Amino acid sequence: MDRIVRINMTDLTTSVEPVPAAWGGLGGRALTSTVVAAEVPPTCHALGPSNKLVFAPGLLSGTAAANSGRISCGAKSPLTGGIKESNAGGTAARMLAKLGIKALIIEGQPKDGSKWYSVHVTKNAVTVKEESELVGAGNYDLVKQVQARYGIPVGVMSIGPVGEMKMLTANISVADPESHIRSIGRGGLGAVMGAKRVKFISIDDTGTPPVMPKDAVKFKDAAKIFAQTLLDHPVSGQGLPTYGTDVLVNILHEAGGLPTRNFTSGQYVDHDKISGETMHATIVARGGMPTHPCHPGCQIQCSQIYNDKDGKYLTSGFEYETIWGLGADCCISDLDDIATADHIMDDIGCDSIETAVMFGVAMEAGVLKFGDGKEMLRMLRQEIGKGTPLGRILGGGAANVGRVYGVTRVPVVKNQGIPAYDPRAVKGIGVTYAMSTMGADHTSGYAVATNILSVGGHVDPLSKVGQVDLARNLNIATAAIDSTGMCLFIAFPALDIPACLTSLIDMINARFGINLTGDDVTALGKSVLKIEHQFNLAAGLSKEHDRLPEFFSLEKLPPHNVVWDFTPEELDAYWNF
Amino acid sequence: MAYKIIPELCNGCGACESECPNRAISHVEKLYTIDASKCKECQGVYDSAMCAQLCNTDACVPA
Repeated sequence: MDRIVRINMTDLTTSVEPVPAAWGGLGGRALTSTVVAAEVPPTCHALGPSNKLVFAPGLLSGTAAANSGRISCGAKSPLTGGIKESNAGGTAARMLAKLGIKALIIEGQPKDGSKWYSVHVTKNAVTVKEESELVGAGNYDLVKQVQARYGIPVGVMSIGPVGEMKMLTANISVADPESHIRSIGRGGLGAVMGAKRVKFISIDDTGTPPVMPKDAVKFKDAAKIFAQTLLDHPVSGQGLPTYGTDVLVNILHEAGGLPTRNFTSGQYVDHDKISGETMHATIVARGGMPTHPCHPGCQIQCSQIYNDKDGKYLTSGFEYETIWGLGADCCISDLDDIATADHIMDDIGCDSIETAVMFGVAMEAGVLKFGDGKEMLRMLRQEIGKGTPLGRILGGGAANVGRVYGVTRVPVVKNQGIPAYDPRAVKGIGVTYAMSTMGADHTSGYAVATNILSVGGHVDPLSKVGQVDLARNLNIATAAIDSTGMCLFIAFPALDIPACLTSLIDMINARFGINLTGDDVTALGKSVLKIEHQFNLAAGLSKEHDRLPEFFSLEKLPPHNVVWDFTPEELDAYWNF
Repeated sequence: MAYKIIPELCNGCGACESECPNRAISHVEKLYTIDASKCKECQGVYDSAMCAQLCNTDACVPA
């Protein structure tokens, strides 16, 4: 029987509640955003006792559905000041779903601010214990030690030193099947976990079977069709498994939309050195794995294991946005330096997008030189990781560094760093950056698919025509997908192969014994966005915050020499639904 | 009696491995195999072999 688990950090108690009827049809982002909107005062301090940190597996997590292992995490974001949902792979979503935990809500704050705690979840109990041994530990070592403590590969969600220090770049790590790290990356949710004084959550699903659907035969038929559509689509079936998300470096360079040298050009001269093709060849030559699932049941397998020159493990889940950010945007062309940085960021627990965008701004400010990979690595280890005064400035993210050093070219929306696709040359994603309830977030409405990859049709990336409608529709669809526990990359086949979406809906219906239609799923996505928007308005994020920074309108981006040219009225039409 | 994994049909997603009640499934990179000496076809635990129930590409079959 599904239940809601609450962990009160003020009095260190736990409680279990039945799922309220209104939350029964929700999962993932729909549930985290609904709980945050219902229970968190929008004007509260995100690092204070009134904020809540909500973890929720998706509607299909724990079942045989392919790619259903994303864990959603929500709270008021200390970075954006608005509502936040960020999701990751790993084993936690599947385990929580099997345990019948629809949401895990961490609330309150210990009165004694000097102690740290851990939370352990099993079939029979949820317990809070004081933790001293692993305080200060990096995430890699922490996962190893926690799993050794329990003697089995328990699920682990944890914060590193950056989260302990409540920096705005702090993320939450989720252990994957190889005990490596996936990240609930964006919006500073690791700082919220640090403010709750929770160092890690461990999950033991021993004695629980996979989630069994109400109609097993109908579910199985739909699950096989669904998995096949993932394998049949050229992006999810070929491009992503072979080259990972880094396949996008050369594509965005060709399109003139690869933000370079802190967003002053759309092309990077050394793009080949950091491309997916180069990464693939390097991984193969060093005996790594170019194709790897980040959670059990993933058919796409865009993750990889990247070894160093000596053939030893260096990093995994090595994503395009990280490689773009430290590569093109910071002009660091050594892929090994970027991979080392990726490992350090996972270990100390900071968002690799926010941190990379921040370094671009810091380089512009002269804190370090463009292209200086070794100094970037030193700053990660010795400044941010150690929490020096400079480290705390850098660990505050791109907007913070821009303010401290008087930089005007600061690529953020609602204080969150703009990832990997220049909004002047890929205008659809620019609309998503401006309007997303999450701040600048490419995953909330990935218009790059239609602007650049011609998935779901084609909308000219350099023209304004059709972009607001495209971004709105994609944001609505994504809010629904984020509620199922599905990886966002199922959107590629979903946009092009009709059987993908119909089989997805068939799985949800068979899982719960209901009869949803495509319109119902769209309505769910709309309602999620409206709940989030309302929270943001009440938190003080008005339509004036739904804008890109001024420099995008003032500075032409080579090679297309384009500017951001949407009027406020054109953007505000996004909310007409 | 045991199950086996047909390599040509297996996509290496790992859904089976984490749910095997006898920990009979393991993998080396993308090659997943079932240890026949450990596999009990889930008798006494599930109605039928869980690996086959979870596999979306029909790779888990009776040996």
